[in-house]
Amino acid sequence: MKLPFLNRMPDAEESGQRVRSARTTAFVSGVFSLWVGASLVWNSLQLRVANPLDSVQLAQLKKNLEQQPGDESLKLQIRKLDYQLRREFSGRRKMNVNGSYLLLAGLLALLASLKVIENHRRQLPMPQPAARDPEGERGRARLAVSGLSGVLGLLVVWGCLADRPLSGEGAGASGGSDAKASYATADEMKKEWPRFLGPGGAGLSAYTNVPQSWNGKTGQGIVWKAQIPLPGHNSPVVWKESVYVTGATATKREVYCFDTGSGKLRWKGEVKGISGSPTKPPAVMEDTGFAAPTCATDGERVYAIFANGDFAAFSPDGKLLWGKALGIPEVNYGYASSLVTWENLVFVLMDQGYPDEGKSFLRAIDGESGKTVWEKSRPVASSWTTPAVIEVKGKPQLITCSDPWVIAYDPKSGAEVWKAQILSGEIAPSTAFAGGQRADPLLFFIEPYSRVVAVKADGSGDVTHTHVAWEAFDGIPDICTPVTNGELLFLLNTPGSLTCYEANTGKKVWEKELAMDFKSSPCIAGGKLYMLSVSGKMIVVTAGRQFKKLGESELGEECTATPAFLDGRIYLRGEKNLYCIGS
Amino acid sequence: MSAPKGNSGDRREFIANGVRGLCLLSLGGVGGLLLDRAQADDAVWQIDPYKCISCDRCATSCVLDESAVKCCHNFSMCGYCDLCTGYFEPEPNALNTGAENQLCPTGAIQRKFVEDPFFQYTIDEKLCIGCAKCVKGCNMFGNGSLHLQIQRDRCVDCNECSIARVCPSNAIQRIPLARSYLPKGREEKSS
Ligand code: SF4
Ligand code: SF4
Ligand code: SF4
Repeated sequence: MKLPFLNRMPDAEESGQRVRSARTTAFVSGVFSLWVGASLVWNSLQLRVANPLDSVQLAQLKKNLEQQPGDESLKLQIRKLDYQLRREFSGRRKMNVNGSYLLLAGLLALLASLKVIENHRRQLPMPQPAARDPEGERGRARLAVSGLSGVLGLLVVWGCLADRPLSGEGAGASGGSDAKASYATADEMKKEWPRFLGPGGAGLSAYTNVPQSWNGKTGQGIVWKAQIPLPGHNSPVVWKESVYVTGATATKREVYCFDTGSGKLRWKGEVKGISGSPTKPPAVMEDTGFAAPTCATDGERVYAIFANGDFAAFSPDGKLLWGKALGIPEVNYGYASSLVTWENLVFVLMDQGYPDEGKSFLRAIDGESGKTVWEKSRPVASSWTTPAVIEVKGKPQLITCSDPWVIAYDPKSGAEVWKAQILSGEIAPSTAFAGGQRADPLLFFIEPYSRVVAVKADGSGDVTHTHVAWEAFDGIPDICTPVTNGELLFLLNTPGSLTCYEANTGKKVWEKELAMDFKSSPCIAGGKLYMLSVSGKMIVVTAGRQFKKLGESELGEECTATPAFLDGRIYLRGEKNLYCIGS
Repeated sequence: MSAPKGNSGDRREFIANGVRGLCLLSLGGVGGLLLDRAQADDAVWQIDPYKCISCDRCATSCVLDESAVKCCHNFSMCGYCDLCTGYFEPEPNALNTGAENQLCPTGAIQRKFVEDPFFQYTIDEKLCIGCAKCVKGCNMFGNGSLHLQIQRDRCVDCNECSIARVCPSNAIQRIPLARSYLPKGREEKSS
């Protein structure tokens, strides 16, 4: 059987026509592909250099709205422009997708027509000796096809990639957080007063030249006095040229930064706009207020927390960096635990409710990002204490005390190192310790009105029955944290009874009635014990084996906060004012 | 009819090419299958939401024109806040859906009233470009329920994720395919 279409060879005219139309198709599709390719490149370039979503004009309008928040026409302008920009952006995106398909179609048509041209050439073999070089021609055609497709292919790839930064480009620019976590070293911390009770929370000043007498009424020894806008029982924190305190009412929460040199308010930062922040204020006692917790700094940022559980970080120039609403702590009287920093972490102790309710927790937060690094649930009741970070045999321990457990954690991971079930009642005084002067430091814990317990900090697991060194029962405070210089331990209770114990043995050395009320915790600077009464009297005595009064200075304002003791200066918070004492 | 000489060479060439092509095809097929199997047993690219610092490179560094990275919302972590700092500009003019108040450049977050004072926020994946603006806002002042993730149905599983190469916090990692997603759970993460 004859299959004419198989055997029939196209005649010259027919073939010539086919080649002609294939040439036209190749030309048209080639031009079309080039045009589409160029448009894609242009479109991608546009998206790259002038992305509608990064509109400067829109940003400016939004800024203007900040100045004129009530301007309705401005709002309309923003909405209109925003709509236009989004449309433009999605239009360009769509154009990229559709354009790629068009380019693909154009390229396919081009390749097909080129193939037709090539085939027709192949179907006309004229095996004349030395006539032409079909192999060479074929090679050239192949080269042309692959060259053209290569160029167009490159255009497609470039078109798709053009709106992206080159790999590695801009690294470190937009992220902003590429830099390593930054915080002050332990040595830098020792020279400042970065938290409640100073470096490490030991109540010990690194300076020996701290002033001993002044007079608030005559102004003698007062370098400056500055009014603090909102009330608070929190204590001053000092870092280089800045003194930080916080203040709050039921509706407003602020952080203040005063200049150590002049007392000028350098900035005040309001903690607001934190999502989840409770709409109703917490129930607090006047004695506690809305800003009892002392802020803390790691040298790079200052952290503050308030009675409603709002917690925020500010930069040294007053920019609100991040904030969290931790929820209103269920604490009688009001929340009072102060913040503590260690390396890149800030610790929030939220002891609330009853031990078996599972409401208490200790959270470690990365200071730079505000993210939770670890959190531990604590089997304890409400407390008003502040943790301390101590070093035992070269390893840090984060010490917490509450009813009924004293628990030491590894500050890095939150793992429990040791614990002792030794306390009960409403625990407000924090741990006293001798700032790492012993290899196996003794820690002192207060069970209010009841006893002081010394615990050796080198244990592991439950040390309730193995590591209690001694306990004593006289002059036990209910609010003030005791202080020790390693040799002696000083206890000051609210009605003013001052009791000195031998730190290693618990033997009572002396006791003295000061006959005035104290809420501020005693601190030691230059071998002297400083105690600030509620009436604003600073009593200075020798931190030694004999009671010896060295001075008594009147401020003329009520005081409940614990002062900061620095190089030749004391920063002291009164009920309304912040004072710098010195010369 | 005897075939012209030149053509017999072409035919041989054709058959040889055909066989070669078939071999290549089957090789490719077997290779593809093996690769598929290897990948199935292997791993996929995912973002560790706890490491991500919301730098915005996910939006621009994916090999796909529309990034495979999109914002996800873990409702169980969300506070359903009226003032959502992932939705609103810092210090918004008013707590409404006006463009002047929205943080998302593409309007990809929908805000829906639930009951006083709660609002639900849902991501329209088609509109999200993975710019991380909302994630940053949510992490800074909120519960951190908004987070970025590489979407399995979009990601083409590059040998080396091109975002991983530029991610400043090494947040992009391979996880076993069986796990498929690395979701963000409760913010409280113990280590
Ligand atoms: S590149 Fe890394 S840090 Fe940046 S948004 Fe993506 S995952 Fe997050
Ligand atoms: S802000 Fe960015 S990441 Fe968040 S939903 Fe909008 S486009 Fe997606
Ligand atoms: S693997 Fe490739 S496709 Fe997937 S996210 Fe990374 S770059 Fe994008």
